Amino acid sequence: MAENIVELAPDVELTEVIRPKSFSVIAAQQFIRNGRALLGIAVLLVLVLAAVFADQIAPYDPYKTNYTNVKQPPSAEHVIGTDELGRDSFSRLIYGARVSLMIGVVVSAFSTTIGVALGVVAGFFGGKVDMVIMRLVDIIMSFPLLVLAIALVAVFGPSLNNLMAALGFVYWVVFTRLVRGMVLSLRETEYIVGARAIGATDFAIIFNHILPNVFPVVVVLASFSVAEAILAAAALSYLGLGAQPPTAEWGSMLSNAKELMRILPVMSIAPGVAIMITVLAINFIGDALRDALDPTLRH
Amino acid sequence: MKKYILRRVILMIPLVFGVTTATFALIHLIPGDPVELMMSNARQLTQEEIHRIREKLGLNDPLPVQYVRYLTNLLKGDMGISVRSRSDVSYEITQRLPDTIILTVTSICLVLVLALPIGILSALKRGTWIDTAAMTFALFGVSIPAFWFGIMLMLIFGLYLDWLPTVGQGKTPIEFARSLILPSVTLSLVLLGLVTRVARSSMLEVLSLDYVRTARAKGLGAKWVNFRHALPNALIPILTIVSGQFAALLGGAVVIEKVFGWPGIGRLAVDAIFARDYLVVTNTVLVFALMVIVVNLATDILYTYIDPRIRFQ
Repeated sequence: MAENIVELAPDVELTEVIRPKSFSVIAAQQFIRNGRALLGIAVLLVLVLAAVFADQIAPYDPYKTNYTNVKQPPSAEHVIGTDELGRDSFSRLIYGARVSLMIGVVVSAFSTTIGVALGVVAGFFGGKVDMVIMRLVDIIMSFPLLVLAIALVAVFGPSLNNLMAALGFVYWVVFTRLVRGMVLSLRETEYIVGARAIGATDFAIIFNHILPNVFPVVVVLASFSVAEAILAAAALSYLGLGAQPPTAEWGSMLSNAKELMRILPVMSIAPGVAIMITVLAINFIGDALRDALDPTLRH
Repeated sequence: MKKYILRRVILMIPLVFGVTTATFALIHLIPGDPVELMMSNARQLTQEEIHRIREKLGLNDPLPVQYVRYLTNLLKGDMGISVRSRSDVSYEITQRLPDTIILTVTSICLVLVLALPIGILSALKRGTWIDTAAMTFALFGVSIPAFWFGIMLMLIFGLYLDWLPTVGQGKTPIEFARSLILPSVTLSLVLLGLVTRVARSSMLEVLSLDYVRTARAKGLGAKWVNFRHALPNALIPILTIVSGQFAALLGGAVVIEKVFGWPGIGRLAVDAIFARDYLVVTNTVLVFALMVIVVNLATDILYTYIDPRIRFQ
């Protein structure tokens, strides 16, 4: 092999030619070359900045009611008009980014952590622990996840915190099922059998060999779960089971807008477009991560 | 094959058991005294009255006893009494279940009619503008909130064009069909993007297999190879995904029934939440889970008919 390379490129240093690029370098290069991913990141960055600096950017206070200026159509002062309490819809839209992004990140982080931990435990240790965890997963998965989340919020009372807890509680199963399957096959690989043979502890094997291997797939799934959580949270808030009035949240803005559909359709359109743009941006990033991190798709 | 089906049915039993246990737990997680919740609309009760009602409903029994009674009642079809309507919960649910089934089945048909041709065409025309357009369509399909898509349809076809009714359910067959259009189109969006993607990738996968190449090599026409040889095998993963996502479709139905005022069990459950009618809520959730379990079982049995490899295992 080495001879061939020298022949093909005699003036190149041998070490440079044969040193393979690491997995993460190839993945990063692929990711950066993906135009959609960059677009997704740019859009998401704008949304994050809007959420963080909402106080500075929003033209009006999103909670300031003005009864002399209700249900106004879009104008120079109020880009997308005002709602039934005279609050500026555009300002509320900007503050809504805060709630939606927070829900997405919190739910995803919560379900990823729990889901991966239980998946690793179930797959690695097997036996009774595995049985208990997987039966629980089977039971939760028999329910439509959105319905189970709705029921949990109904039982514990509608609020933003309960919404996030409920969504986190139903979404971890997705991670557990996936990670367990991966760990089951990883456990039989030669390098892990080898690690065990030289006396590595379970803890060391999990942290040095198992987690790094499941990491790429988990990252992809986690990015999609942010998008899913935002969609689910908007639906629940629309039903009145999430963010409570007067919180500026896209889903509850849509449910407010319903009565004004005839006279102020813009109020029904704008929050939905905001959700769609956010979710599209996250899905762009997720798709690009999948293409970059999944070696089976890399061709 | 009978043995396989029997085994699948037996495997279903612990799952049904687990699901009912979960809904039982859900009922007992509700904070507050069940009697007070039940009587929330009535006058203040004395301690003695509360105690008598508790005794009558068996709420003073130990949990295991209550659990066994809950299960035996369920087997008899007794789900308790709705606080709001004062009628049997099981009656309310069975009254409205057909509407949810009609809505979901119509949506699945729409998904198949739209997603299959688009996905397959996209695979056959891989790399062309058709493929790009189809995949962009699929991407929007998974990124648009379905309930908002419904609101937009309502705005366009209901309010502006005035072609279709936006809320409720028509009484005559024609009115009924017309009122079904917007909710079912909206609900189909829940699966449309995903199924289009799966149809494409599954078709691409089959097209790359050796037997397809052999069929081409022996001179069969492209149409014959694509539709007679490749398509049947490509359909199996699509069936898997549609059945696997049936739960997601039901979840979507809950929200969309509420948007369009469609009188199915999803809307029943949501309305019950705000009336604090907890028995209706938990039992509807249970019915949803049972529907998912039955559909998954039916799909597994269906596989044995369409895929001989499973039959002979």
